[in-house]
Amino acid sequence: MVDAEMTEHISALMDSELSELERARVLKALARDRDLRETWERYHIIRAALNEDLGPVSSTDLGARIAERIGQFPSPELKGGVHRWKPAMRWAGNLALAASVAAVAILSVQWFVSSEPSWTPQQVASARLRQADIQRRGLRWDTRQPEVARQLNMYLVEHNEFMPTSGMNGVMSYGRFVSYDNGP
Amino acid sequence: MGERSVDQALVDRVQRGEKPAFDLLVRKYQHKVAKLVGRYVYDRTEVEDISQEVFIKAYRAIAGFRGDSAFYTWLYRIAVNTAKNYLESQARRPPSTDINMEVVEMLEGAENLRDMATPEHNLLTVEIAHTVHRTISALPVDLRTAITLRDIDGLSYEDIAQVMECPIGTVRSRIFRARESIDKELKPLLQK
Repeated sequence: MVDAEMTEHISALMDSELSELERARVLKALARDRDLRETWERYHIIRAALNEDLGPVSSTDLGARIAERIGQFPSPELKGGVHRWKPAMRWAGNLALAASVAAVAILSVQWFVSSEPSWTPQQVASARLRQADIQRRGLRWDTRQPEVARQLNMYLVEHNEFMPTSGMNGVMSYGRFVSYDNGP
Repeated sequence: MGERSVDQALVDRVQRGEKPAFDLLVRKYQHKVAKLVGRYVYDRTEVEDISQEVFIKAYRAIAGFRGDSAFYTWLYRIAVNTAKNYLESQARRPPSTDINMEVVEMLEGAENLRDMATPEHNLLTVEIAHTVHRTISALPVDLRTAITLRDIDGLSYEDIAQVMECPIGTVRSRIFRARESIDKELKPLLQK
């Protein structure tokens, strides 16, 4: 015999008018009780009939036949073992990921630009003068000049941790900065 | 908390291994699926067989359902494809007019798809529809108003309470009593 209070809850459930707690309780009851599930079905038939949306109604219990067949299959598992995120959480996750990537990029650039740990102030000043010279004469350093070659070699040594063989992948390509040939 | 959230709650339970939750989805949508399939296939036995196949396919694929669309939109896609595949396997051409899934999505709240063909309903379906309408007409006006505002117009309990100028609890009770009255007439028709 179907509990009247529970059927009223089923009526509210199909209208999405239950709290999460009530909904969980009613779904649990529905899972246990076939009579309640048939009541759930009939309420939906009523709604479909009112909306002239009722298809051919089977005189046999299609639901029972389907339940019997799916009983032969294993329970579904979430694909890849990855929990499906609710849309809001997925959005927050994507935002967090984007922020992390941006933070790494910014920090890497900052580190790259500011990290001249083993350069003395004189060396830095010298490099800046050299850079001004480069900007005046063009973008390429002329490695035929001993001073330029020495600066470039120091550069290579100071940043060799970015070499591909070191196993570290920096934001800036090592090769982009240090692979000058002798030029024309 | 909309209907979509109820479906999603059920899908979540199925994905956690609760097979009875899938039974609830079947019982909720089997008649709509049958109506949809009936636009491709007119034989009642074939409609039942294809509808059954639709739900089996849905169950086997439900682990991959991520909630990007409404559950029944996803289910309808399976139903359309299954019906078409069946026709092709029978070397029959599917109807030239296809079902536009964008329309399905758009009419989500209305729960009413436009008929492109009129399958011949079986006697039981006709009898059910007649019983429902007859019983509704005989209901007290408060109950009739409450259930039609909810099931046909799709208003929430809160909106119905404003329209009928009564508490939400009263709305809930009236809708339930209307359904109970109709169900009492309907149940003998569906005794299995």
